[in-house]
Amino acid sequence: MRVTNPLLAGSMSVAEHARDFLRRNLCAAYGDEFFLYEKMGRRAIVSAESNSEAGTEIPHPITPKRRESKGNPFPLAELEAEPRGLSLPNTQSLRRSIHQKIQIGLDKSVLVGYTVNIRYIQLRGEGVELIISNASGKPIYEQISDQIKNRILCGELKEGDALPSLRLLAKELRISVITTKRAYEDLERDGFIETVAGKGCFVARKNLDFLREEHLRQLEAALLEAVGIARRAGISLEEAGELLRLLYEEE
Amino acid sequence: MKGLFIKELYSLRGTWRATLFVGGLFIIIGVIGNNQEQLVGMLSGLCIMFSIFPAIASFSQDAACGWDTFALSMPLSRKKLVRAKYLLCLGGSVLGPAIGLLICLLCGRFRDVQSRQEALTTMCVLFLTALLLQSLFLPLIYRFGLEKARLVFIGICLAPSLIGGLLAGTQPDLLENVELPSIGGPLLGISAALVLGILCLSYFLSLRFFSRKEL
Amino acid sequence: MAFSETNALELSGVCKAYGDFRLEQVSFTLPSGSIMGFIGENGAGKTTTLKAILNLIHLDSGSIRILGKDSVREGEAVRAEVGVVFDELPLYRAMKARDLSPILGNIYPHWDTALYEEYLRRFSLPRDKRIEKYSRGMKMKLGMAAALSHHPRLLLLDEATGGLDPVMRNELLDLLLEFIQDEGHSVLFSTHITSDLERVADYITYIRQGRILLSESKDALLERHGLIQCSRAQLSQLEPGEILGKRESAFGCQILTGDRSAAARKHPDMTIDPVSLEDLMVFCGQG
Repeated sequence: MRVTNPLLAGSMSVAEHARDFLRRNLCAAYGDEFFLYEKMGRRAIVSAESNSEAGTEIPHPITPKRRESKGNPFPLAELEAEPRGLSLPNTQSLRRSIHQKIQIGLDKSVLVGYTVNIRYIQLRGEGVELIISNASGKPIYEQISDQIKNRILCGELKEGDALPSLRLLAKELRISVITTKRAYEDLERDGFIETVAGKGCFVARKNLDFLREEHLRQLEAALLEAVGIARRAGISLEEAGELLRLLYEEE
Repeated sequence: MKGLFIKELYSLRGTWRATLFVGGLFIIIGVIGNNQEQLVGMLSGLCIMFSIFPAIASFSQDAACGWDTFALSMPLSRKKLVRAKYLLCLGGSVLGPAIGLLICLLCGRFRDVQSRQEALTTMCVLFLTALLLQSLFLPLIYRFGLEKARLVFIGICLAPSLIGGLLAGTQPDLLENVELPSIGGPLLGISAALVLGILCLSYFLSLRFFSRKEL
Repeated sequence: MAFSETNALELSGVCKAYGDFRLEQVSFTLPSGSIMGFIGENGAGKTTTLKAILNLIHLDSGSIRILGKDSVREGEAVRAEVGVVFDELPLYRAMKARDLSPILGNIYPHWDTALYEEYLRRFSLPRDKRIEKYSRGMKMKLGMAAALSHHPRLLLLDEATGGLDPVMRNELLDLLLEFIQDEGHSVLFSTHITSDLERVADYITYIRQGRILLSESKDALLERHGLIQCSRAQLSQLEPGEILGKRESAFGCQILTGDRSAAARKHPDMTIDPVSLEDLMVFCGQG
């Protein structure tokens, strides 16, 4: 099976590809009822895949009325639009309402978050969220990398999907860039993602089943050691099993 | 530097009304009153006050809000700040006599050539005096801060007044023979050169004091 | 841009003696693209250090490099790219927000009037109101607007959040995070309110009585340290090297330790909690 990832093939720029990809997929998913914002440097360019003119004033995408009348989730919106006759009202409240959440990896294969041009696209109604808890004893970078890892393992994030940029993730989750960097580094070390210079981080091309086997192997080795300790200490299988169960539940 | 100047102008915004008021008052007095000499004396004093007011007020406001610290966090040097203040002095020194001249005009005292000559000479003298006073004052401010400098300065200004008063009281004849300097005359020229010299010295002193100052 | 490789700020061996206070060998580095929290108690030397960076005071010894340039020799030029927000807005009382644009526009080479107006609008700051009538929060926002509108690369904040309510402080943090989206931008945030920095700071530098106690990545710092909760009796089990700070109460002790994992291994019976920046300051501030 040939795995093609046009992003990594690199003839088109990241932004061009994303734009293209999004248009194709979103048109298929939502018809022409969406507006896509791009932010390049300080200008905002609106490309409307609909009959309205580019540069039209965009109404608030998240008004309940609109949601009901359309019968399907509301259009995509970039969370930050430069004012140029275009303004997304209430971006502040919108941002606050999804504070600490980032939508990544959607089943409609919508790309999210390039470093270069597109901020990020949020598709409400269907999505995967990253939840960070301060109260859990686990360090934040570990929470991030674990959650992304799980998404990859269960297929929500597919090969070639782009991850949000380090700084964007840090900003939205309100944590330091070093933390997000560490999370991504851990993911890269474990082979889940790979960084393409100048383009960002993407879910790795590697065969994930192979990766899972690798992890199972690691688990087996760890368990072997645990079994050794149990045997030496005279701990029975039932006790050990109970302990294992407790530990799983704790997580 | 242009920005600094604009800042001074904005800060003096509120004071123009007061200036107009006082000036207007004087015009009224001048038109109504008869004692020209007294008026001229008072007017001279007023001109000097108008001349040195911008610079002093500027220092006062700067000190009140900590402007210097803010200014030096910008791409400005201490030299530029001092230079701006001296330009303000110059501007004030021109402004004061100019206002005085205006008031004179409005009082209608400009009737004959003699009077005009006198007025012009007086304006020049006032200009130089203002410059001289500010030249003395500014380094004091930079060295000692505004409050202490004020006290020192009053002392310096009182001295000639006291001497003049003493002389007038004890030896009135001496003053009668003092010739009024005229434009083109040597006395004015020498005074001008002297004042300019003192101004330059003052500038360098101020620079030196300000460069050493810790903010 | 090659700039991401250099440091935004480098202090080495900065010494300055006043009558009863001295800065002693202050050295730390702010890598480009990061937020550094500069913490310390009141009077520890934060403002003095900032003044040294801005060349407002003359150093006894040491050197400071801002954005790769020497702070004394090339200070004037490099300050065009430095934005400073003070705790008190140092402007004449009678001035108005719209006056700032012509003034600063003629001082800073990269002043962006449109951006300034945008910030005023975004922060809902009245253009024609005298500054003396502004509230504390509005003054801070105006300071930020002025500091950001000339496209600086380095932002210095000196106790800018003191006296602000949490909502306002949050908005400020949002602004900083937005600023930092560009890798060439860096922030030095001097404060004694550590909760602001807990999440967003990349590095922490702690100054105490004129000396730098530590300067490292915030994550590493908080991971390394731990708070041991134990009873008085258990206190004797701890080695002196482990105890960085101690707080005793009627019911037990709290010990600050510098190596959490080692302590966890050595004393499995004791509870070891994660530590916050505030805890660090309180415990270090005692000894």
